[in-house]
Amino acid sequence: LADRAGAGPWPRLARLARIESRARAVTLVRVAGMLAVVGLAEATFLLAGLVTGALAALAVLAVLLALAGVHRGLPEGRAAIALSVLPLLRVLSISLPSILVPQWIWHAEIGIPVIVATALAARLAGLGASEIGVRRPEALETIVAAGAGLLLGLVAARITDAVTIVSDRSILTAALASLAVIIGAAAAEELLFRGLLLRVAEGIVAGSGIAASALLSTLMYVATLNPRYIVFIAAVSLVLGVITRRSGSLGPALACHATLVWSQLILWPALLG
Amino acid sequence: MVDAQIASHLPGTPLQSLAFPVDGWVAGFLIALLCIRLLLTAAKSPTARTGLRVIDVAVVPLFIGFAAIVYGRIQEILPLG
Repeated sequence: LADRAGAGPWPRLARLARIESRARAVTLVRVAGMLAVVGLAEATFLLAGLVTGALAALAVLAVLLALAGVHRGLPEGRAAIALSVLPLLRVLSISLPSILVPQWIWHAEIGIPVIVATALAARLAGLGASEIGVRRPEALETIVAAGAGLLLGLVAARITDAVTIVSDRSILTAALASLAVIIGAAAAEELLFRGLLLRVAEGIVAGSGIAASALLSTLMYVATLNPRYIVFIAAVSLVLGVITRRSGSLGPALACHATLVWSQLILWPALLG
Repeated sequence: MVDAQIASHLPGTPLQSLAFPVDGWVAGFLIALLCIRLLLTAAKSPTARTGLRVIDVAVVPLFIGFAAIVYGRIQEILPLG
């Protein structure tokens, strides 16, 4: 547009186009800086341990909140508020697990605050529920995705040598654990990565939103310290991003993720021993 | 979300839990955010209103997390009594 307008009789239009492209470049640089800071906090967590990692995540959270306030109403402000959920997730995942509490409760303890944070961040970024994919999905697509999730869960259980997170054989515990895993792990992550972050990333780098959200969700799984699982998560995140964009709803991706994580942590370890 | 890096370094006893500093930092960070929130509320300007909404993105989930931390610590300490 800048070239065509500059060659024609509209130099003012060319100047506006140049200003717009410069503003876009500034936005991209700022968002890249925010991503680098989030990545640095994760690297600190991996290399320096839990305590220093939590301190780094809290510092990054404070910086991103400040940037969200300074750049309010701009794309970088929306990026800052969406990205701030990541260090929040890291801090909660370090401080909430306790060895005296059953492992399945950890998922609910961490997932529920993350869902609340994602909803508040989406509201602040001016995104309604339907814009982040909370809308009625197509039934057949959702059922197929849920079936695929069961098979992916088997692969994930094999890669991670998963053991069941249900401590006893009671049906009530199994039902509560299933609910905790589906809400705390699947729903929280889908709302954050395929809902909020995918939508915000597409608003900044059109066409690369899926890659950006997959990169961020993979980044949060690097701490599993299992290279095969990290590659698996990256591939699944890309596929879930594509599914979400194609269907326009989080439903199929959520169904796939829910059956994946449920079968990985509860079903397959119980069946296969 | 709870990775090998975390699961392998969890405090193993109630005393180790009490000595784990991250919970205290979460509480301190939450108190700092609440103080900033009070200051912004007192400012009563349109800019401050946006600031309040930004801070709420962290305050509300951290408060839920803090409640869970306190509950967990009480569960750990009660058997000692």
